[in-house]
Amino acid sequence: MLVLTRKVGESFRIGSNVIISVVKSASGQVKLGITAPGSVSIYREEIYQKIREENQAATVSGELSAQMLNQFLSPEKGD
Amino acid sequence: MNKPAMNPGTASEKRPQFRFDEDKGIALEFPLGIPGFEDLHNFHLYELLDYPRFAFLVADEERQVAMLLLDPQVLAQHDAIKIPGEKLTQVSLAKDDEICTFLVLRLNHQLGRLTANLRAPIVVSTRLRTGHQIILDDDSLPISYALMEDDTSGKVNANNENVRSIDVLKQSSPNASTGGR
Repeated sequence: MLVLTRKVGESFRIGSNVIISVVKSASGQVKLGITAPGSVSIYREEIYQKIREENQAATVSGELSAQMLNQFLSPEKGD
Repeated sequence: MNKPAMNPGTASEKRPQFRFDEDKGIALEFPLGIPGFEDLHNFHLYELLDYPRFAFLVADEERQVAMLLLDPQVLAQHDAIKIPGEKLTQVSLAKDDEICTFLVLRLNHQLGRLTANLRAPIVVSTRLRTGHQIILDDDSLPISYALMEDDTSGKVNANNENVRSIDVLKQSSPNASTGGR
């Protein structure tokens, strides 16, 4: 991992069009400003990880799902 | 209050009903994959024959990667799940592209609960037949929203006048023009 040291007000660039600036640093927290094209998605890492974990937990086997769905729902016009 | 028909006794006597027509899948490309499955790009979306408003998303490359999806129109929170235009442009869609939205469901066998991820809906472009899971910025949208019976079976039938997302997909022709607007 590349480690850079920056002061408040300084920035660094990722590729040609993403700029990360250090806006504020206090009490163990760093506030960053990100300038990036609209096509770049920016997420807090913990949110992305939560979605990953949720997706992996949501992956189902058809048979188990059928049993579970049947317990939960019953088609109104099944018969 | 009358609850919708849900009789575990009756259900257990039946064979599990989780049927879909293998021949009627809708091919979708997920250019960025799905979080957790970033390397999988080609999927098929199937309509569940017994459960309107539910769909099944299966990865072509790994058939065991399959997710149950729900058309969010059945939920009272439907209006809260809005996809901002900038989120669409992030995934190379136009702000006025026709999209269909689905929620990823999780069957929690231990808790006996069915939960929906309202924070990260799956958005499908009817024009391009591409799919993306979009992580919304709204922290108030739960990742594990517990579905109630009324959310699904009851309102599914009550909302028959709404066009189902999967019907929109089935009726659209891939790569066709959006019609100018």
